[in-house]
Amino acid sequence: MSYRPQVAIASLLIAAAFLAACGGSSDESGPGDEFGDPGDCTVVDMAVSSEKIALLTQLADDFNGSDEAQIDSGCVFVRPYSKASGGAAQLIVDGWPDPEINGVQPVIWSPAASGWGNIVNERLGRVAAPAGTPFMLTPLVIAMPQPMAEALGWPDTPIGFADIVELANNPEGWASVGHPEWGPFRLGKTNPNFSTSGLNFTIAQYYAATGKSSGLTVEDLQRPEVQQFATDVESAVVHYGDITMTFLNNWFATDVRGTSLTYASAVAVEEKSVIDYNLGNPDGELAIGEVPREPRVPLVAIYPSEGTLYSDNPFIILDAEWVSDDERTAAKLFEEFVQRPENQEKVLAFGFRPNNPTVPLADPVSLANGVDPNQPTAELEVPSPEVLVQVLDAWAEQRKEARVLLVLDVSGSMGELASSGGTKLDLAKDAAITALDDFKSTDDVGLWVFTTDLFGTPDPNYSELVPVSEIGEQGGALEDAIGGQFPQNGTPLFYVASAAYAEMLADYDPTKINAIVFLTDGVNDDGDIRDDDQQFTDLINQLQAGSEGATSRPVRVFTISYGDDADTVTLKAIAQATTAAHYDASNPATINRVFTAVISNF
Amino acid sequence: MIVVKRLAALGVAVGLIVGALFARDRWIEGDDSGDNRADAASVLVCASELAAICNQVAADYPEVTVRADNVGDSLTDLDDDELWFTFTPFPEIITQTRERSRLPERIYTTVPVASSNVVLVAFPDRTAVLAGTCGDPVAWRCLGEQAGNDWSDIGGDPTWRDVRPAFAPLSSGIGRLGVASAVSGYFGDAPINPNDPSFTSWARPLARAVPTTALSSGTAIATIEVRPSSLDVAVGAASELSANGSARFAVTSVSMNTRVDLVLATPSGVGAPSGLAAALTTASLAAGWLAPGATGATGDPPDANTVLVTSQVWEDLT
Repeated sequence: MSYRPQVAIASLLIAAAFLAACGGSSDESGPGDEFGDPGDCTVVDMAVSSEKIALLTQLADDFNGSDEAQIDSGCVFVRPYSKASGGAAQLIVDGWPDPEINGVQPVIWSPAASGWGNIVNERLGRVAAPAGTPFMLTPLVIAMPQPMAEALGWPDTPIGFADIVELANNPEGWASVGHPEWGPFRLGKTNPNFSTSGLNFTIAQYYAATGKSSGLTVEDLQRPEVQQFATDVESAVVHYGDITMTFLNNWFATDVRGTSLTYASAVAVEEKSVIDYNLGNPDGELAIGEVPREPRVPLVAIYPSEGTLYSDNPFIILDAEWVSDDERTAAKLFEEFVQRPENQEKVLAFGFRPNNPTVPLADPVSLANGVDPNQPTAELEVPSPEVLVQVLDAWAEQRKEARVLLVLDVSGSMGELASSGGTKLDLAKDAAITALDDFKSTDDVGLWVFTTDLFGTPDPNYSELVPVSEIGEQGGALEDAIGGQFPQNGTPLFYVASAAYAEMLADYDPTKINAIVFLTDGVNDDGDIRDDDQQFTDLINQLQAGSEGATSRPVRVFTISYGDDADTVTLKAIAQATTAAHYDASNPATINRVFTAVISNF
Repeated sequence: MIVVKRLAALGVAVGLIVGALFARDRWIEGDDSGDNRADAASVLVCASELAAICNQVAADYPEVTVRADNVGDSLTDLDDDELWFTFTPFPEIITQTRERSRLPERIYTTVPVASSNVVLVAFPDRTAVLAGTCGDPVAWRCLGEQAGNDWSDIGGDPTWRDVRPAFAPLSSGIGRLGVASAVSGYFGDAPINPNDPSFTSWARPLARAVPTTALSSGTAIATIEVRPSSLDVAVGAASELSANGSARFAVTSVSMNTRVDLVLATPSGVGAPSGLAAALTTASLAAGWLAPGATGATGDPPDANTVLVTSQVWEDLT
């Protein structure tokens, strides 16, 4: 077994897209019932990147009820649903299998950026994703809390990637600009194999390292000083992940507690996300009952002085075997509809820049919301596919290393049968073993399992099967240990979460991403329900105390709710207390995809 | 006998009336093209850049199916009975190309709809710097020589970085007309010689300064309006610039003054619905184009041979 080995370029591209295909568990769905019964209409399913699902839902509703949806043979009914760009790209290449898990086969695909379509076509050797007409734009920016940006001279002084790197490498951190209370410089960026923002930021940092704004070459990426520059940027990363909303939600949650400045100093996001955040809607989609609340500390968008890249949101009508001529014709009606000035006004209302020149750029793309309609003034050229693949390859080597403890529930309920025929534990073991391949060979990974009444272990509630150490040296041991598990007794959730956290904090490594992946299918069940509330309160206090402040040593607990009976509320709270993320695998069949998404944080 | 004569006269009169009505329905009201033997066409193909204009008139012609296609595609894919709302000289190019390929003859009758000129669109500060070096109208030779150089070399702000002129893609009519203007402007009165090494050296940086994939709004002028960071100097038709854009950007003429003519082209044997050309003119004027023959649009459109040659040259360069 090898972990994150040097691989051929083509293999990496396939692997990268595969990882992406499995990602985004927290934001993905098929078309929901909210669109109602399409009746006898020609149904046009549309897979869209997550940040624009709210907009497309509204546009589809408007279209479905309009005269434009009426055709000679009846009517057209558009149903958008959220799908991560990289995930959809791989599914198209694969012929979009398992629609019940992956969502229905789309007629229209709108990834965040056109580059994903190029990747699909290159991999298939034919044009399955014809060049689509962009229908809205949003540039990549570096979002920073306003006081931090001001400390760097914003808005009068241009700020670039070089400034970010300099600050990230300064051992004094924010103290070097007079703010020791903010601690070290902490950067949030998503995994470029999954996220367009992460990919664009990674491209931009290589451009910054070369001093170029176009013509990036494979040779450039191999220069030692370029590699060092990239490694320096990555060293400041808090963690990675599949979607930018994780960072924005965490920032927003810490803003409530007044600790947002010590969670992250800067996050690479699309400009639209800065607007959403400042309007009190950090993930861009209001849940039922959710009321927008302006943050105490607003974000501002930094447009890197070296230039930036755009997400152009193409409208692609797929040339796939599952798309009929009638569906293609119907899709064109919706394509024309979204380009109309009145609908481009809606695009603007959702924080995107319209692609129709007759709609002037106006509020909410305004200084009042932390963004500058007169920026960016420079762009970076999208590299050739060959260089793009090399960027991903280089990132895999230069990204920040991780120190991760896997904590798996082996309680009795894990022995329940899953729909596939095996037990829930069987599925989880397979997924965990597969996910080991997603680590870098120099990452440190360990394994605990937990249940009550364990025999022959120092603590009867958990067992350290493999200590945290370099996975390249102990991958086989981890596989064997995971594979040997079987369902046992109760679920001492609170006790073990606390113990695992304390263990990881004791050996905290500031040069790595320190994290716990905690999977459970049940509620706290240690045989004594009387102290559950106190145990939970103590646990949350312990986690928060260790995660906040300028001198904090953050150990992030990424939680997975496994199966229908998991205590999702508690697991979300644990993740939130450590500014990590919670993942939903309530359908055990999705556990492979969820594990991959979790590991994308490293 | 008198009765017979009267009946005969009546028959002749009825025949004349019926004939007149038939002639009006078939040849007069159904005619914008001058072809008075034709059936009314049921499909109107619009150049993609003109789709918004077509959409404006479509509601008034429910019997006509309106479709938008790139000019580059229409040159090969247009059917015998389809009307075409396009630019001069593309109908003539189809006629010539089919003749050379020994395909069945197709002759178009064109009705002028609206006009404009090939121009440069840029932020006013860049326009001023460019005019200071390349004149006003801007000399194509000079613009090509500056492509890819630093703006600061000609007195611009160093933060503007490279001079990045951009043309619409060759798949579009606007793109082909802009390229025809540029290449003709380089050669001036001399015949176009695509193999001239000096020309190649001049044209390469101009053609490659901005990849067409960066033109997310289709044409260079539409893109500079919504995404000005992607290019510096947009080549296109003056009428493309929206009212919003007119307030933000400056428009400059170029040394080879090239008129852009919109026409409704009708293939022989087919008639255009009554009033369609006039309706297209009304919608075009509302969209900022000039009336045919208006004093604002000067110069001449390029001929078919020039567009064919210059498009091929540019395609080879990019």
